[in-house]
Amino acid sequence: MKKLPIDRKTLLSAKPLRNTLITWDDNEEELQLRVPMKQSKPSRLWRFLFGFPEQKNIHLDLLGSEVWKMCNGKNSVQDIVKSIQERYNLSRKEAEVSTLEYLRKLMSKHLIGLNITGRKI
Amino acid sequence: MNWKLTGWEGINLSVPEDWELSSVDGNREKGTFSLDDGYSIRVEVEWEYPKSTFSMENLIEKYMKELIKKGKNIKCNIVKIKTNFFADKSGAILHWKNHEEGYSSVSYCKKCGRVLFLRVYFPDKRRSKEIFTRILNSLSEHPEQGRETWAIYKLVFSAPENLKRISSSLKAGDITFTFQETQGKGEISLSQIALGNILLKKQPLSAWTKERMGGKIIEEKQEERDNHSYFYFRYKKKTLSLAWEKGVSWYCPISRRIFLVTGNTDPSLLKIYCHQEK
Repeated sequence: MKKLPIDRKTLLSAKPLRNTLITWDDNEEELQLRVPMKQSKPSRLWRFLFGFPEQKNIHLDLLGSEVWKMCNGKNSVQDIVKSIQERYNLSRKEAEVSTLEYLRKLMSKHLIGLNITGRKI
Repeated sequence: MNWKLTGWEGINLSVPEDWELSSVDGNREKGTFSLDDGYSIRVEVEWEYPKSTFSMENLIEKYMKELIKKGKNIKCNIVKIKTNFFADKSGAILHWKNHEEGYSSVSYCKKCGRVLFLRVYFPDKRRSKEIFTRILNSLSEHPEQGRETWAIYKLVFSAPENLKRISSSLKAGDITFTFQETQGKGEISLSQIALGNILLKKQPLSAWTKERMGGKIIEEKQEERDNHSYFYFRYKKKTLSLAWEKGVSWYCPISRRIFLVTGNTDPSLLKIYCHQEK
């Protein structure tokens, strides 16, 4: 994935936002995300010909689900790190490295975006 | 401000809680480690055994020149605060100011002959003297009752001084140390794995241990003690050795971490503080 052209301080103050096209059931501990597939003509044709599903399901584990729920555009990356650190009794570095890596993965799959002082990445 | 212990290669010091290990290099004879607060380096510790021709004065002068050089041509004002401040050591405490403020101590231990450099940086220049004094007063570099204390991230344990670290892996949430006896062939490894409560949600400790060890386990025994569940076992390494080695894993519900000790010596050689008593 392309490296973000932002420094650590800016990254921690950025607010992750979920992709609004994605749906999930809120009553489960481990979430199952439903990601709609592309609606372009070739994609529709492929789906028609080979019976591919209309949406892709992504299963998040317990920790991933908690991070996902916190990506509401109100919590900053720092807030999420702090919450994970306290909840799971992790050191600052343990919480930060794992949360940032996870957010990077979500971003690379276009499941979330980052709101950096009004600017979206 | 909460403080915590940091220990590496027999050097222990107390630091503010959010200062964590940032880099390590070297071994017991010569090495360095640094701590950061998430934004910048706050502490650097360096140690070495000097060559036979050694003068403390020359060392301090050389060190002051290095500090000026490190200041990257920014006017650096260095003040020697105290010399021979330490009871069992010779050395000096320096204070410098340029774009940031910092304190250094250079000390030569008359007991073990080791030179130790301690640098503490204060980018925000707040409470710098108070913090440095507390760090310096907490600094210890000798084993106590024959044991060395190691403390990084949330792993705190002590090891006999005759065990030498031969490798360490410091991945976030998965830390492993391997030690070897300085005389003899004894080897022992310790791993600490975070998020144990999540890892053990879908499988018991025994299954997790078998998976981690690669399924070469015999003679299993489980034990519940002090609210901790222990799993004792014997296993065979992939090497050609015919000997079966010993191991124990346990889950600490307070720190929510899994600990795993394996080796061909007694696992109880390492004293692990798996949680802090409240």
